[in-house]
Amino acid sequence: MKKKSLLISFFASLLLVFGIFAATSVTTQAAKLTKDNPVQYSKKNKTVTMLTTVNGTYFTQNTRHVIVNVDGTNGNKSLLKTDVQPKTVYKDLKKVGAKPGDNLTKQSKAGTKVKGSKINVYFVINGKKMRAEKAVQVNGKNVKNLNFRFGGNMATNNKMKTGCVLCFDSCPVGTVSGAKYGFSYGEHFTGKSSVLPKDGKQVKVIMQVK
Amino acid sequence: MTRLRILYNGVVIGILCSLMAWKSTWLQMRIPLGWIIPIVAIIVYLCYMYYGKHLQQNWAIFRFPETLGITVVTFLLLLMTYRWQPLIVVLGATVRELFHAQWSFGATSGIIFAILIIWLIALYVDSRRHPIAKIESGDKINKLTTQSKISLVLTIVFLGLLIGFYYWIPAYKDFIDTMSSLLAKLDIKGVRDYIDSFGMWGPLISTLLMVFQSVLAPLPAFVLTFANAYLYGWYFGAALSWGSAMLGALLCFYIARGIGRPLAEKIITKRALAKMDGFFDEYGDYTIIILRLLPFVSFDEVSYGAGFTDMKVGKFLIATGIGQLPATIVYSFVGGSLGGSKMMMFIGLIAFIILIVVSLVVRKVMMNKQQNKKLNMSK
Repeated sequence: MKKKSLLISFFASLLLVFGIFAATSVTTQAAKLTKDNPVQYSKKNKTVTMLTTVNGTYFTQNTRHVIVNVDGTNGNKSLLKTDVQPKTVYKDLKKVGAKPGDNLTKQSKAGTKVKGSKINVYFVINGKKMRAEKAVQVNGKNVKNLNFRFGGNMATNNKMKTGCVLCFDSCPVGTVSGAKYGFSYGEHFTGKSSVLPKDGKQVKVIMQVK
Repeated sequence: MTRLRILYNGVVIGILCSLMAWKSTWLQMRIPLGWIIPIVAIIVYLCYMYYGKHLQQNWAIFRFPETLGITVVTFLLLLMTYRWQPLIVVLGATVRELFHAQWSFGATSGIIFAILIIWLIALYVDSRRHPIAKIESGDKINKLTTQSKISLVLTIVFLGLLIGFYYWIPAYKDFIDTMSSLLAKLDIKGVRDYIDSFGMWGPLISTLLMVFQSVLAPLPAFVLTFANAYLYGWYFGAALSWGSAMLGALLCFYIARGIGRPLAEKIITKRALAKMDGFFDEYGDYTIIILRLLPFVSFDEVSYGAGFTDMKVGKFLIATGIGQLPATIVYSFVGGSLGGSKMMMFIGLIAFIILIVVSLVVRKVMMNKQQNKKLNMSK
């Protein structure tokens, strides 16, 4: 009897060890983003996570582009550069349940705000997850709730090839953009060098559908 | 080597244009601004290829001293616009964007600076080995030559850019508005605090302000002299004010020389210029010294006026240097005493009163001398 319970305990311990190992390896795989695999989505958490690189130019200069694909015509004009194509982000956001607004065109009236599913954007810096709003400023002042929306805009994005993934203000091209400032509002931002890592360092960005 | 010198000037002017364009968010969001550098360099080079053939002096307008001047002015303008760290970032970003690379800003800017310095040293060595004849501006001031036409175009472009930047670059507009307002209100404390806010770059900013107020004739310079003395002590303040005022006077002189006599005659009228010539003929080389001694005569108008005559730049500088020395010292003494003891303030005020009395006496003597001359002539 004693032998039997010892055997059961041994197998249980073995299973526990395997279980922990398997669980850890799954978590690691899910979190591991590389240059070859720069984007992942999770239907369970309703998130799309992508790898980006900081462009320190916009710690001192103004921009309206938060994340842009490096091969796009605006590839050097954003605070964060990424290898992820806007098309991939668009598809992944749809897979996790987001609905595109597609309400803006280049001829839209100035001030029109972008529509679509609400998206919370987080930056992961040194393992800490924080809202994107915490890492940017307008004219040296903090900003609150940029109200990011899944604008969609795939037709215009494919046509213009700007590479725009995430825009600061309502945009007829960017896949996701902020509804706080309307189209052609003219407001720009700078990144906070005190919050973001140095130029050339990587930052993980999480887009969570609400 | 001449071609390398022209190209160097083209690159430096290109860097200035490109980095200034960063201040226009609209522009920097749309095009890779690094392309402006080669485009401007090519334009300058093509101008040389076209005009250079017509110039006997082999594009003497870009001799080594002018090249050095363009480099220094460009660097100061950029430093004033950005300050050191953002300048390194923007220069690095401009170049790496051109090559679609992710180089570090510090290394990229460092390499650019190193290339420019080595290039400049090579040009200096060449200028010592193969000197170029000076521009004969004094003798041919009344004639409209190819050289003077180019000078006129460059001066108009320079003045046009100074005005254009005001509308295109918000930071430049703010700077001009703030300074004009402070100087016009004679706000010594405001000017002092503004210069002080730049920290170690304060003297540089003060120099630029002095040059700026020189170009805009109606703004008073003594506010800056006071502020300099208040900030850096009367001795260093006086040296800074004197040196920067010399630079300002030189710029005014060259602007007038660049516009040239033929165009000035059309704008200011021949009669007014003839009157000025008469004044310069009467008092010869001492004209500038006498005019500088008088605190009631506009410092900048004298510099512009001298630029329209056939006076040589060397003589102009010596006369300006001597003439403005007493006023600079006295103003600095008064300025320095503003934050010091009551005794210092008393001495400063006495010196100020002496300066005014002496200048009034000089003025009176001059007027008497002129009247006597007229009387003798009528007899």
